[in-house]
Amino acid sequence: MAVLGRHRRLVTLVLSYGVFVGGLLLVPFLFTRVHPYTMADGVLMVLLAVAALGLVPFTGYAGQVSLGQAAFYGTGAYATAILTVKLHLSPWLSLVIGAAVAGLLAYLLGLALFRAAGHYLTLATIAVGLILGVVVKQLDVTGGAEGLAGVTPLTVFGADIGGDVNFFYLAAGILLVATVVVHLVCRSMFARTLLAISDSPVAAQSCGVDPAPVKRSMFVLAAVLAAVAGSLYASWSGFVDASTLDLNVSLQLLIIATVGGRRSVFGAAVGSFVVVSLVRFAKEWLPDVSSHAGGQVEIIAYGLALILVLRLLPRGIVGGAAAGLRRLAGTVTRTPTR
Amino acid sequence: MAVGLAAVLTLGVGAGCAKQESAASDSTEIPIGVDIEKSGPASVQGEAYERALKLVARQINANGVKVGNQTKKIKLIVRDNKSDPAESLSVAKSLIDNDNVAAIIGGGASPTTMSIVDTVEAKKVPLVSMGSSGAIVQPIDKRKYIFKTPGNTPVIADVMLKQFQRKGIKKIAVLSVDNAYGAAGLKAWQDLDKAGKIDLVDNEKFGDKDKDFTVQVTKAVAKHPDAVVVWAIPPQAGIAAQNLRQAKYPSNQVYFDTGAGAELFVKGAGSASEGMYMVHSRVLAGDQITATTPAAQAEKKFFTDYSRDYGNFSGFAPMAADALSLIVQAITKGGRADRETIRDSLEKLTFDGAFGTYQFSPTNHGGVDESSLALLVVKNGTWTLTS
Amino acid sequence: MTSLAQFVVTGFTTGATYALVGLGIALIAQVTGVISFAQGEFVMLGGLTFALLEEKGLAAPLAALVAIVLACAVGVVLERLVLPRARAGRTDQTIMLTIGASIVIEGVALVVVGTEPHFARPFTKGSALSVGGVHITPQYVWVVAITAVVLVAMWLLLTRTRVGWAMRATAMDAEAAQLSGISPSRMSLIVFVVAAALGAIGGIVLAPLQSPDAGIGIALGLKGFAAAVIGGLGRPAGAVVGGLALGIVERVAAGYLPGDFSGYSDAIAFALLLLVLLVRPTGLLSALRVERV
Repeated sequence: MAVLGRHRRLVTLVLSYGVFVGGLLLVPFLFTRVHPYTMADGVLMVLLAVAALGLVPFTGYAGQVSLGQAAFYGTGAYATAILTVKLHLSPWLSLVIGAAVAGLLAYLLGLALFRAAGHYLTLATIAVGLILGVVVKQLDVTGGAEGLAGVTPLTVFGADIGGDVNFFYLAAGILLVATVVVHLVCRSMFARTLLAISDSPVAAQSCGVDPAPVKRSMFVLAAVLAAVAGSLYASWSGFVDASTLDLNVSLQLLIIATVGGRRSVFGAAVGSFVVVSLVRFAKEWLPDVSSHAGGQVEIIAYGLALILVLRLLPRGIVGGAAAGLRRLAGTVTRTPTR
Repeated sequence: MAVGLAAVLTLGVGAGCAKQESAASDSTEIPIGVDIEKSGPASVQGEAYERALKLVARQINANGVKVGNQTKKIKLIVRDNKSDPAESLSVAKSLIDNDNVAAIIGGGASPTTMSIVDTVEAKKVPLVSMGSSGAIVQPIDKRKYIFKTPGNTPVIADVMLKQFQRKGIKKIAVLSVDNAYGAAGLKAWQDLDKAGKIDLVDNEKFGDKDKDFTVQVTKAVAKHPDAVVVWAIPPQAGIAAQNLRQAKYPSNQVYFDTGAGAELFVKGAGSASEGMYMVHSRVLAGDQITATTPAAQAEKKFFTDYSRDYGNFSGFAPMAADALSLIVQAITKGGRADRETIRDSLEKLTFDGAFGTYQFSPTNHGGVDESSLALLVVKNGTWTLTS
Repeated sequence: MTSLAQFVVTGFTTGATYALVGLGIALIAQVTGVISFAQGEFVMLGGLTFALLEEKGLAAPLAALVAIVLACAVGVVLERLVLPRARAGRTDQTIMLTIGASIVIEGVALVVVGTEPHFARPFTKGSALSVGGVHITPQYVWVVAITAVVLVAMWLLLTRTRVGWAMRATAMDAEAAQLSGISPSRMSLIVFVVAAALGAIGGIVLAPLQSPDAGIGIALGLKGFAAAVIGGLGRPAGAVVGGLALGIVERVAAGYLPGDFSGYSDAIAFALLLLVLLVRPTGLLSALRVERV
């Protein structure tokens, strides 16, 4: 039975990754043909998924609410912009440096903050993002209030990537690698510790589990992923300004992770697809409904999506679907034996 | 888990397909994208832009646009960039890739334009911006497709400087909003300060969402400047006017940039603005213009039409109106409505618009010339031309 | 010197609003254990409704009353419909629900009112008084006076009334309070309504000074949160002191930044918050913290 159980798990794993990759490959097909999607939406969707992915172990497993992802997203974006525009470094090297800087920043913050309870961390990360947002508007090296334009585009083996479709494949590849990494982390003993912490911090502590180093590592992982996404965004758009550090970015990422499912590695991608679609369709159709409605109605959709998912599907779309599937599979396998 | 994802994706396909058919554009229409601030801190501008564009499009479409031997109509595709530079980029990409526009009007301000110029240039789409920062159209070899309607920032500063020299004003303080627009204004004055033409005794910045500048005003006034220059748009321009009056700073020593527009009165300054100055196109005092030249006639006509349709006039309206008129002129003169023709034709254009006179050339893509600008003063609650 | 006094006076008025928001956050946190990120939206609701009705010609006291009632009603909806009944061990979920609520409230306000700010007249006419070179508009006096009255009323409510005792008992030990016949659910509803009213009053008194628009909630909520944390989430008085201190430090520090660095003034409040979190995460005023299991 145990062997069978193991096989079944393997089959599930292969199947889910198969569908995941298939879904990703479907995106260019879909987004270049179906109005009003654009391939730019596809790229943005994957980048947001990478940035939100870090929230799976951090929010879903460690039970921490982070509204500070923008701080690291922006760090990655600005690192790439500054290093390529001012120092003419390669965008790939800039991406690595940006991720390292964001990781270090997260580590230092975590060192100072994880002694305190969870919501202080939420506040501290918001504060860091907002402070960085002010600072980058003042410094010359960050382009001041005008931001930095002319960021060097990414190249692969010296060749231009050329076009949003190719950039999408590149970003999707990175998303896949990141998903596997986060998946491995979540499967490790590490994650079990995290779940224990999330369920009852004090109980975990009394059993001799020190939550701080584990949470810190998760925080660093989340920061690195956000920075990678920010860096890719900078190379893709060619322009970076303080809005990459805005609280709205953090909110958007938290919503993506929550709507998709905070305890599934596929949650970020699904959440991102839903949120990007929501935004795109809202933009396309709302002006027809009311000429007065601009970006406003869109945020109601955001907020409502967050509330409804949290109340009705606390584990997000993927979590809810998985539970439904399991129940379905349960009845199917049980029927013949009965 | 897997099926859930597949289901979501399938749902997306289904929902999307239904819309696809209606997207096919009519070949008798010329799609022109509009990327403006319908929400966010600069929404006051966005509203005026949209009204002006609809007014001009209606007037143009009444007779149609002559393209070669065909008569076509303008189709405006208006999108909200939420006053956010990153959002503006996404809007521009979507207008180019999705709506296949012939040209783009926007962004409505410097920050929302600066974020899109590289992309628009790379995609070779003509763009006419309502942002004032000089960096929008310079360096010209990287801005082949980029044009703008407001005059360059240093040109506006120069008009003020002449007034300062006439009045013997030497020491000034600058209050500016902390974004690309305010930064361009501040830089113009810092350059004049370096060149020894004015003494900049203080500069104070405020965030684009701030609502109270008492601290900044207190600091600036404490330096005893002969004049205070404000680089802000409404409603912040109005708040600055109020705060300056609360600090008992004389109103006839306060100068606003074009960005303060006409809404200065209604959007918060109220009676506090009486006696304050602004550099703007003559069109803002449209009812006082004696229409003798073609330029003055165009200004007066737009002022009258807009005021009739929407009640009161807005200083931002003519900037957007001219952006559209310029593109239509370029299409008519070039005889084709494709992107390359519009760009080439724009670069050769001389045009008397509602905002002033444009003389584009391969070395100048930068908005109305100095002759269109005037110094206005608030008298009895309306903008009045100074002699 | 007169500049310093001017900065303090200006900071005090903004600080009063931070204090009212912070007080609401601290009360909710204590009585229900919920960390509410939606409190800033009540300031927006109060201020914007007041300004809008006042612009339409409604008498100021009536406009204020309507604004407060509206905010309280939204507070009830938030507590009853948005937040789950069972909240133990679901801190992250409740935090995110308040964030979601905050976004929806802002969005609805944007759709109904639009993005433009609205302008309320000062409560009384008259130009700024000059006291030793410091310009004090009559509205400044109103802000300070009304905040003081509200704070005294809150203190009386918490210490001299049955409801206040019940609230404090719930804050100390919810289970024991329930055993002695206090309904935690009722206390939760009351504290959310009180907090909504506090925020709305903060918005109303500030409206004539800082024309409210639909987007002001997030920033004010964060500043109020910072106030509560700086003062210590554990005690209401801390939030009040934290709010006033934050308002004053913010303006005084901005006042002494050289002009070329004035752009940094927006970061002051959050730098202060970060400093407090790093040095003394339980707040400057609180002595100890007990974690509930």
